[in-house]
Amino acid sequence: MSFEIPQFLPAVPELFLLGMICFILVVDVFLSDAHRLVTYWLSLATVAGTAWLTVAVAQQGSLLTFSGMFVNDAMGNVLKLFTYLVVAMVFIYSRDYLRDRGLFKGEFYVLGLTALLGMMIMISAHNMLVVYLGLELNSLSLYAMVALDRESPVASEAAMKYFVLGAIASGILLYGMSLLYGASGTLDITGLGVHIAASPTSNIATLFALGFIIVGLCFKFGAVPFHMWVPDVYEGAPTSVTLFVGTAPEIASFALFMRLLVEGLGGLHVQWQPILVVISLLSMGIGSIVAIAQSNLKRMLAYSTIGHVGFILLGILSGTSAGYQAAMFYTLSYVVMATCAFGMIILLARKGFESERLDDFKGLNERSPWFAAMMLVVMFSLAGVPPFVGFFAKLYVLRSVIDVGLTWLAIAAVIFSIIGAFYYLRVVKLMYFDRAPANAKSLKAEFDMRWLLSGNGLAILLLGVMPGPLMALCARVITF
Amino acid sequence: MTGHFPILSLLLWLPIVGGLLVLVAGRVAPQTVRWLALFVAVLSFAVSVPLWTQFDPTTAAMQFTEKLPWISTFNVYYSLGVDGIAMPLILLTTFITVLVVIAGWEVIQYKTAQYMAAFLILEGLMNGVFSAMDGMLFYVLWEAMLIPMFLIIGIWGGPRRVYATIKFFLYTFLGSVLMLVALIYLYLKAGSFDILGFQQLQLGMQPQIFIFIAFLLAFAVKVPMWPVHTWLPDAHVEAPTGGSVILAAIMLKMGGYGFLRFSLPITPDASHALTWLVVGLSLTAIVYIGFVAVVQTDMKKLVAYSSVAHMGFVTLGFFLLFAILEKTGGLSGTVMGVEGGMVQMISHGFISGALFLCVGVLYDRLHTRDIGAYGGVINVMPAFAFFMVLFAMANCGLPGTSGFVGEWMVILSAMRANFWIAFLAAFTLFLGAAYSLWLVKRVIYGNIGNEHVRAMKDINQREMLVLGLCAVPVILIGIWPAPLLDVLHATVTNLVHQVAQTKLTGAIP
Amino acid sequence: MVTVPLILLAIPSVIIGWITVEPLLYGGWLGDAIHVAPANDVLAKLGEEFGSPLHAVLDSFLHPTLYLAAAGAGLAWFLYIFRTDLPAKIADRAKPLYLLLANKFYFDEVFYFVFAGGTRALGRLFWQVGDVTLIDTVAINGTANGIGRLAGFLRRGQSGYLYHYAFSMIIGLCILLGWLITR
Repeated sequence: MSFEIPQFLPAVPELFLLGMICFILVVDVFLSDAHRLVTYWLSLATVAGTAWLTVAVAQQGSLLTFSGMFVNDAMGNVLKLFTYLVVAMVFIYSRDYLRDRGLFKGEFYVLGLTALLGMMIMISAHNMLVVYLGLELNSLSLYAMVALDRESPVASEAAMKYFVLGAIASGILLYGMSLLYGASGTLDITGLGVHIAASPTSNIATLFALGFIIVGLCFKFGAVPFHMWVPDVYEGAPTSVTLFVGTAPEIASFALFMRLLVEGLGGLHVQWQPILVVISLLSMGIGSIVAIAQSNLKRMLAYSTIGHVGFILLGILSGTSAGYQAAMFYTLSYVVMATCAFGMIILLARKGFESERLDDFKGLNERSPWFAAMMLVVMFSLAGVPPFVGFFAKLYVLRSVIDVGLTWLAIAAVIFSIIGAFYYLRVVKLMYFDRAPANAKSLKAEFDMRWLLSGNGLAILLLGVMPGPLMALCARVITF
Repeated sequence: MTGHFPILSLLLWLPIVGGLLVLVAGRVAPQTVRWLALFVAVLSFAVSVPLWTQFDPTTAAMQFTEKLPWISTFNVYYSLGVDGIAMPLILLTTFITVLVVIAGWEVIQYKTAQYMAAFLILEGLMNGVFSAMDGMLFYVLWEAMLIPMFLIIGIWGGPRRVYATIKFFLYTFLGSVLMLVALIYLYLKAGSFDILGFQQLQLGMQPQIFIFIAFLLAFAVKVPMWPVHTWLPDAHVEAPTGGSVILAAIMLKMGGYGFLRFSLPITPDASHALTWLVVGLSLTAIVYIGFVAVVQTDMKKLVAYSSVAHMGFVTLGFFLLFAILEKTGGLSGTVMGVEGGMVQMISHGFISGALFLCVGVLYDRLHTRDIGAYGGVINVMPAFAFFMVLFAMANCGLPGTSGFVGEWMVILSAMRANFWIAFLAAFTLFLGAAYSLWLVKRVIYGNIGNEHVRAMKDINQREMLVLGLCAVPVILIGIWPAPLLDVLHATVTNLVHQVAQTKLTGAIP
Repeated sequence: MVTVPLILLAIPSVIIGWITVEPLLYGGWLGDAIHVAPANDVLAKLGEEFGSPLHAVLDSFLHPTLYLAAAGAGLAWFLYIFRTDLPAKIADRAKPLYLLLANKFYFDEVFYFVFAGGTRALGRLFWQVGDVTLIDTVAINGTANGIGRLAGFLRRGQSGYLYHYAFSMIIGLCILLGWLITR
């Protein structure tokens, strides 16, 4: 086929980001450690600039460019904007944490930005190869970020595991994509959809491909039984990186599911629904139950992530527009909650002292009632207790499941969420019911971190009291 | 909005905002915390008084209604309103909160601002539960109530408070989540979460049974009914006095309210079919728990079990209407049964609240709830003994006190249905007398038990105020229940007629 | 010491009885307050034979009641004033009957052991076996502990070994594919 000059306008945010990454990389080389703040501010400015550009080039309806490989649509833009917000918050939360540990290097920011670029490409992908491109860009950046703390054996181990398992998953995904290409003759997502709609019975190759692709996608999301990397990576990585890995990529994974599974392979819904039912049940189960046995808060939150992923899958598996909207709402509200949760851990940490054990939260109500209240909000929201946003997310997802007649699944889901409520209560118990140990240190954090974290917590409450606007937004942008 | 002053919104938000102000005051002006909390509580009570005075007892329709769109994606409205069933409960809530604030005045020294704020926020949420006309609003407030209560028991409670409060939270949470599934199902059928809309919805028997069971689980845990009652003794015993009072006086009533608002009108046929279950469990609560209460050695546990037994009466009264319908084919006596249950709820709110306050008075002095540690209290605390004996008598249902009115109405109503139900229900009379009088005999009467008892000081003015404020309604309702019954009558009659009609004809299975 | 008051009480009793017997029992003094069905109206039947208080007094000599009362008074005088040694001997001879009557048919003991003790025993049974054991220990805490133990068991699935993780992924993939083929 002839090469047509693509329209660059819809992809301007990505291009801008790419340019800035190169720029920051070069500038950082010439900066000494004392001036590292310049990198920090440049990165923040980049994120802000990208966000502004995304809004500026937003179109009505979806626009394809780069020979149909890149799509600029409402869902993608909303997801991207949330990703920028999360990445910016990660940068701000992490600054002091990294400084205290000698990790305040330009690499963190550059890798963070490349990971962001990868996520943006994943969200805007309309071609299987581009999906893979974005996925790999994101994953490789994350692997490197996990390994950022060279002194820490735990981090290196975590990075190793992440890398090897990620490579296996990528390989599986790629193999599935190649099978699909062989069966359908096209890499284009719309083309895939057309092919599947056309063939009356799906042949073996397509089904196999479906299996491989689901495995690849579930790995990234962190669903059982492809979840094994999650606890180890969350625990081993420096908390700032955990914050990054646990939040923004979830949005991108959701986008992957929407692009590949729903847009592309939506015609095979009958096939992949039962699979997702099983995966979702297992994820909710493992996530709820095993978290009880954890004494490390980061690991506990890792299992909590797995549980919540199960819930998001509930929305996706229902196969209705309402279901996808519910899954999107859940993903976005989950990311807000997770940012706050990991942010709290960073808040409590200090030079030479990690605050990732559950016991480190003992008596927080006496040390800092306000932040204990913020953590209380996060914990109850994750447990799904009204009036916080976590409840409405679950409500939305449960409703879509019951709507398609899977009431038993909804009942199982709520039972798991009760089991899961226990470990969230345990954190609240430690903060409020136990006295602070004698050598407890008071909270020390910079002005912007305190305000941003408080705003984060209040957002959870606010979104819970007024979930309407966000729900309406999700409803507007998902039209599959 | 129907053009009148939004009292119900005020009752929902004023205490919550007041509670947050108290938290702020805790940081900037700690010495004003108690007074500010008292002010907010009294103000809330004052705001709730017009609910009574301007209530129209001739109609069963919802009054003081407000409706605003809330979540359009789910067609959920911020919809409030009260009828004859909800209104007395709201007044009970605001009144008891004032008492709780006064009762915690001196005892609570650790994080007083958080204590007062928790109760005020809890009050707002409870007012909201009673006045919610939208199922999702109801559910959100119902669950949200658990958070302040969880903190109250866990921070200011007794030695086993952590076990008790986690048990309380998870138990109640488990009961409620199935209600959530049922509510979503109803929403998908009805198109909105409006409770009155649910009540009009035609449902086949199968879905009705499922929905009834789901609601039953939620409300049975709350009431609590046997056998899902075991969270109550632990929660009551370990909670601080104020927490026990709120739990017993108001939170238990929400289960009963739920039966009247949800189970009976939305699933009348399933309620009819499963009456035997509810009546059986109620009678078990009355008899079995009555026996258990007799052998308790911890005063608070005794009162806690007595609460379970009295609530058994409430659920019995509510479900008798089907038994009567089957036996006599008519509805005479059914209204009396439901009204009896309602009066019992209100009366029990005051009596058990007062009893917990009495136990709290004793505990503040000797720091033990063990009956054996007391004896002959009347010799050193005559004024207190007066109140304690009064409330103990009211607890056993002495005529002239409010405890009698409700029990008598339910037993009479039960007679109409089935002699044996009435017979078993009447067990409460002698078992109640057994444990109440025995408690009083061991603690209050007789010779002074030991040196610690001899040193106890009689109740001070604050405690006398609180106990006196409880005694007034107990006696008032006991000798003149007509005002309360008049308010209930229209609503209950309408409810009974509505429930007696089957939904199965012309149903969508 | 009680004698004088008793005498002072006895005299007015007679007078009042004399005055009120007719109006109260047969004169309808109570009016409509008490209603008796005609078929059951015993007093009306008696009233047919009632003449006047004097008549009633004289009539009493024809009925055994007066003589039984007199016999009781007489026996009491005999046993407790005349032959004061006799009561003890009678009690001795009919010990079981005496004790039964003196202890009020042992009603108090029956109440104490059977009803009160039975209530307490039943209460303890319900409490310890029902509430504490069956409900709390087995069902509630049993469930909680069960889940806790399940958590501890499942936790070990996360072995830490990379090849275990990789294998779980591969096995998951194989199961998935197998399921898709056989569908």
